[in-house]
Amino acid sequence: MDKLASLLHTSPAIAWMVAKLVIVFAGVFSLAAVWTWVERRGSAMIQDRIGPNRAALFGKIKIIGLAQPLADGIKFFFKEDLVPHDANKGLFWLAPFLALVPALMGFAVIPFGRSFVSGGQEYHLALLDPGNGMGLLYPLAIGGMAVYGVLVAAWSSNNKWSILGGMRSSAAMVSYEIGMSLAVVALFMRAGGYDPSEIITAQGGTLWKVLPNWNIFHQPLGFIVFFTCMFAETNRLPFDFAEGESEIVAGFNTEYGSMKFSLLALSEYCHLMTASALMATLYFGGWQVPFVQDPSVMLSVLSFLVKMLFFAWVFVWIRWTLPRFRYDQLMHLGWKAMLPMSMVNLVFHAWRMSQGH
Amino acid sequence: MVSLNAVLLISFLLFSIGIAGVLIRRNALIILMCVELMLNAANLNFIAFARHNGSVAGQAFALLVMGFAAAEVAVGLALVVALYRRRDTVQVDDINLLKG
Amino acid sequence: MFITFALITLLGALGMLLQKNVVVAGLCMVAAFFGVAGLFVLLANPVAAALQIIVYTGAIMVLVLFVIMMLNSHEEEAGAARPVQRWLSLALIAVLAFAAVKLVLASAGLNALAVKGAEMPQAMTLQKVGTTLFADHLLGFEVAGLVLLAAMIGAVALTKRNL
Repeated sequence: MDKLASLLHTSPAIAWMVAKLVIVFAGVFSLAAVWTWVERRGSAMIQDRIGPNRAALFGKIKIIGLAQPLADGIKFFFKEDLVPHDANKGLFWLAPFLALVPALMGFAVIPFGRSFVSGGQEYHLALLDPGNGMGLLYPLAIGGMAVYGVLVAAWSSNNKWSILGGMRSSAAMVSYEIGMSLAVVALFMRAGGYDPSEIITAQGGTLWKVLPNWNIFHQPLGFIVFFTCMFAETNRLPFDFAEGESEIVAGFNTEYGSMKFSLLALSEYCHLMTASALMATLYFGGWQVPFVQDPSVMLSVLSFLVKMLFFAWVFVWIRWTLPRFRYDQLMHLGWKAMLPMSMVNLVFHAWRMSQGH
Repeated sequence: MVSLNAVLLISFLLFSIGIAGVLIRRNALIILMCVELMLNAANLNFIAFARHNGSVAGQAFALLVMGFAAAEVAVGLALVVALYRRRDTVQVDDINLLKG
Repeated sequence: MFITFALITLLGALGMLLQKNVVVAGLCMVAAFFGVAGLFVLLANPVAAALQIIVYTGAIMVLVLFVIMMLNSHEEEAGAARPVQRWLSLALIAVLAFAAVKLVLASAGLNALAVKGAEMPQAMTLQKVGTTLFADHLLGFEVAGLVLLAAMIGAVALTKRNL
C-alpha cells in the first residue's frame, strides 16, 4: 500500500480510501449482477428446470452460463429507451438513480474484515472508519431513503398500477421501520455501543463453550423480527407488493424499460446484498470466525463473505419457496406481530440487563 | 469549522420560507410541510448552539422537537384526510365556513 | 461543503414554496431535509443527522407523500394572488430579520459563543445524548411520550369511520 501510494504521489490514507471505495462499490455491484444469474439458476433448481446455461464468452467459454448477466446488460443497453407520454420526464429519469444510490450507500458503514496495522498506520476494512458517530444509525437512515426510488418511479410513470405499487411500498415502509429499529436498539444495549465494530467485538468468543457468541443466540426473537423486516425493506417476496406482478402488472416499474429498468432491478439486488451484510454483521458476528480467537485478515474477510452470501442465497431460496402475502395481511403482520414482538424483545433484554446479566 | 452566524442565517432563511409558505399557499398539505420546515429551522438553531456551547441539552431538545414534529404531522394528516372525506378538497380556502 | 448543503437546503425549501405540483413540492422538501442533515454533520453532530433522516425523510415525508397519493386530488391552486397574505408574510419576515439583527447578532453572548465554539473538538455520540435525555431532561422526554400517545389516539379517532 505504501509503495502504491508513493507511486501515485498521494498519502497511504487517501490511496487506501480510494481502494476501499473501488472494492466496496465495484464488489457489491458485481455481486449484485452475479446474483441476478444466481436467482435464475436457483429458481430453476427449485422448480426442477435447467435455467440459463447457454450464454458463453466469445461463443466458446460456457461456465454454466455465468456470462448471462453480461449478455443481459448488453441486451438492456441496446433496447429502445421509452419514456411514456404523460410521465413527469425529469423524475422518471431520476428515479432509477434514487433507487440505486441508497442501496449502494448502505454498505458504507459495514466492516467486511478485521482492521489491521501496517507500516504504523491502522487500516479499517469499512468505508466509514469506526467512531464516525453515525454507526448503525446510518444504514437505518439510508434504508429510509431507499423508498423514495420506488415512490418517485411509481408516481412519475403516471400509471395507476405504478401509483398503487408506490403507495403500498410507502405504507409498508412506515410500518416495518419501527419494528426493525427497535430490534436493532436491543443489540445496541447488549453491545453497549452503536458502532458496527463494537457490535462485532461484543460477538467474539464462545457461548457456553459450544456455540459462537453471536447475537442470534442471545436475541432470537429480535432476529426473527429483523429478518422479516429485511424482506419488506428490500421489496422481495413474500412481501413484494410494490411489484406484485399477479395483481398490479409490475407495480412501480411497469413503465420502465431498457437501461432504466435494469438499474431498478440491479438496485434491488444491491439492496439485497446490503441487507444480507447487515444481518451477518448484526446477528452472526460479522467478520468473526467461530472458535478462532484472532483470525487473520484474509480469514475474516472470507468469513464475512460466506455469511453474507449465505443470506443472499436465503433471500433467493425464500422467494421461490413461499407464496406471496396479501397487502392487508402484511400490514397486520407489521403492526400486530412484528412491532409487539420487537417491543417484547426490547423490554425483556432491558429487564435482563437491569438484573445484572 | 462552520461559523455560527452562517448557520443562523440559513436557519433564518428556512424559517422565513416556512412563514411565507404557510401564509401564501392554500393547499393544507403544503402548509403542513411548511410548519415542518419551521420546526426544522428551530432544530438547526438548537444544534448549532449546542455545538458552540459544548452542551448536550440543545441536542436533547432537538430530539424532543423531532418527536413533537412527528406527533404534529400525524394529527395534521389525520385532519387533512378527514377533511377530504367530508368536503372533497384539501384547499384551505374552501373550508372557511364554521358550519359544514 | 457548507455552501453545498446550505444550497441544497434553501433550494429545496424554495422549490417547495414555488412548486405547484404537490408531489414535486414534497420531493423538494425531502431535499431540504437532506441538506439540513448534512449541516448537522458539519456541526459535528452525526447523531442528529442520522435521526433527522430517519424521522423526517424516512417517516414523516413518506407519510405525507402517501397521503398525497391516496387523496390524489388534482385540483390546481387558484392562480389568483393573495396580496394581503403576500404582504403580511413579507412584513413578518422583515420584522423577524430586524429583530434577529438587532437582538441576536449584536448580543455579546453570541460573539462569546462563536469564540468558545472553536474550542469544542468532540463530536456528539448517542451515549451522551441518551444520558442527557434520561438524566437531566426526563420530564421533557415523558411529556414527549405523552404527546405522541395523544397524537396517535387523536389521529385514529379522526380518521376511523366507525369507532
